[in-house]
Amino acid sequence: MRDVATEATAGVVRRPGRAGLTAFGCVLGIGSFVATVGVTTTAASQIGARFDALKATEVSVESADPAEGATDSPFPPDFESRLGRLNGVVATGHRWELEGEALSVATRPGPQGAESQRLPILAVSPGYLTVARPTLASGVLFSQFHQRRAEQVVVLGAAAATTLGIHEAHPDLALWIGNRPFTVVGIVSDTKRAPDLVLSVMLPDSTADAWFGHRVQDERLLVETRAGASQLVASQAPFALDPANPERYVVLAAPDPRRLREEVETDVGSLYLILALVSLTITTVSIANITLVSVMERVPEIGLRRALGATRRQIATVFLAESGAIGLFGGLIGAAAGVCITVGVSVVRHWTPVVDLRLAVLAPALGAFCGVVAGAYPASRASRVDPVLALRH
Amino acid sequence: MNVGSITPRDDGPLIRLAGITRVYPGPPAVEALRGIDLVVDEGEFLAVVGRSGSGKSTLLNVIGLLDTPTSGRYDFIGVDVTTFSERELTAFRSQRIGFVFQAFHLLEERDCIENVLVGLMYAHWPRQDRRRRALEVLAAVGLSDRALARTGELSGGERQRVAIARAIAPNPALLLCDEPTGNLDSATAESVLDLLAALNRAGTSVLVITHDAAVARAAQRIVTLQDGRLDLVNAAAS
Repeated sequence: MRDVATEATAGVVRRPGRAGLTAFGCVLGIGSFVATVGVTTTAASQIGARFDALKATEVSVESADPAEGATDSPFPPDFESRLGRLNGVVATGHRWELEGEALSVATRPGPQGAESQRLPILAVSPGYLTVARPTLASGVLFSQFHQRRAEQVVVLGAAAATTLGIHEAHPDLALWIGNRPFTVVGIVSDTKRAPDLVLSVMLPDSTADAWFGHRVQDERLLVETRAGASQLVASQAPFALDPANPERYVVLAAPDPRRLREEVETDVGSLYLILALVSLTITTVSIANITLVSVMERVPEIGLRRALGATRRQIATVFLAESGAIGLFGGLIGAAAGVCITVGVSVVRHWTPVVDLRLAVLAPALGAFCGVVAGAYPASRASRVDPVLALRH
Repeated sequence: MNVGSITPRDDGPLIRLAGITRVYPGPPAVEALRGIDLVVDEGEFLAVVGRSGSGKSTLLNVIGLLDTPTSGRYDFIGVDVTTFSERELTAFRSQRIGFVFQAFHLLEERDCIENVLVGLMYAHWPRQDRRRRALEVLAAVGLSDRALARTGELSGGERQRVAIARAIAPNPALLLCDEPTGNLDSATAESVLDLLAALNRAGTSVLVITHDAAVARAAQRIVTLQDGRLDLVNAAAS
């Protein structure tokens, strides 16, 4: 076994060029396998992200000039009905974040102490909870009823509930925000939109207004639209909210579907370009290996040609031309096979095949180029063959 | 290199070696040729005889311009070729020297005429004349009817004849033969030696390197190489 290892090592070390090329071919083979799987998955994820249906039906409206600590809301009180009249709007919600030294959350009344927690407290409209599409772990969400009456109720995000040691909503269960009691009516374990809700304590915005006053802090509207309507709603929302000063608002919406399509096409194009480049590199290394083996086998012939009067350059040119011709031939066959495969797959999948004829013409030239590049090292080796030694073979 | 620009001297010998040495650097260094003095005249048929390891192959490589001597002077048709660059040697060799090897060294996947054409190509023969010349030399070696046969399909004697045809096609000044009958049976060897003698009679200078005394007897003059030195210069055996 040790002898085999010694001989194998010597075989590799004594022919570093050949061994290196072979190893490089292997590296590329395995690398391309891993890269194909990895890049495909990454691209699929990238494309999936672009096609996020929820994001595509979401519009967010904020004040263009949020004044820190302002007491006036930038949005009109009837924002829900104004936006609801727009074609494509499904639901609208409003939220802002309450902040203040006194606003710590505790499960017991009394002076704020070690048992109180600093948690994000969000004033949200019932519509906001609808748009957020929460999953209830326990209890119910507050509704328009609670909103109209400014009821002292809260809904907890699951993480906030865990922090407070609350595992279930109950009519008898209360918590204190700044020494004011609130009934925990529900616990939300997850949301499709607005993921920060899971970390927060939520109360109706009318309740927040009544008890804590309105302080502008991260205030915005969240609008759910029908599929494909987000761009239209985004363009109309500022005018619906304040026709005289639409510039007061900044609107964030999902990308335009046409742009989205271009981005997806770019992602797919990048994926296949990377795979194609890996394939071309493998091809080049393969031709290099085969040409190098051919040089080794043809050492006596090279010696003869040198004896007959071939210069080193002529020998190198012959091998370069050979590998270039192999590349050209391979490129021709490959281009034809590629077109056939494209058409074949399209037929099976009922797609319309799209073949760029320029590529079909360019492919053989690319093959020839790969062949010439691959032949450079073997050709150089061939040109250095000593005719005296070669003719002894 | 334009070999045509070299003006050969008409009155001198074909080749003249004076004090030629060839030392292969070691370690240990091997002195393969030790002061060779040799003159070969135009139209001569010379045999260099020696045992294995006597320096025969080294001498053939030096005379054939495949190798350069360590020291000494080598004139070919009156031109000192030891001053040539590798490129000049290659060009000079392709037009002035023909090689015949023991192992034939033919392009097996090509046919006979293509093998001859390769020699003419490297000797820079005009493209339009090559085919005619190749057929001419194949006829001269008795292979007119096998011109399109693959060399892999030929007998040993026929293959050596193709090699001889390739060597003489560019009309070289010297035909260098390294054990030309080494791979042939005696009857075939005889016919190849007859062919070399006929070519010599037609004006081609022939230098044969061999360990076989029977082959050497075909030559007009025999020199013996021993331990890198020329020991004996014999008169013609036949």
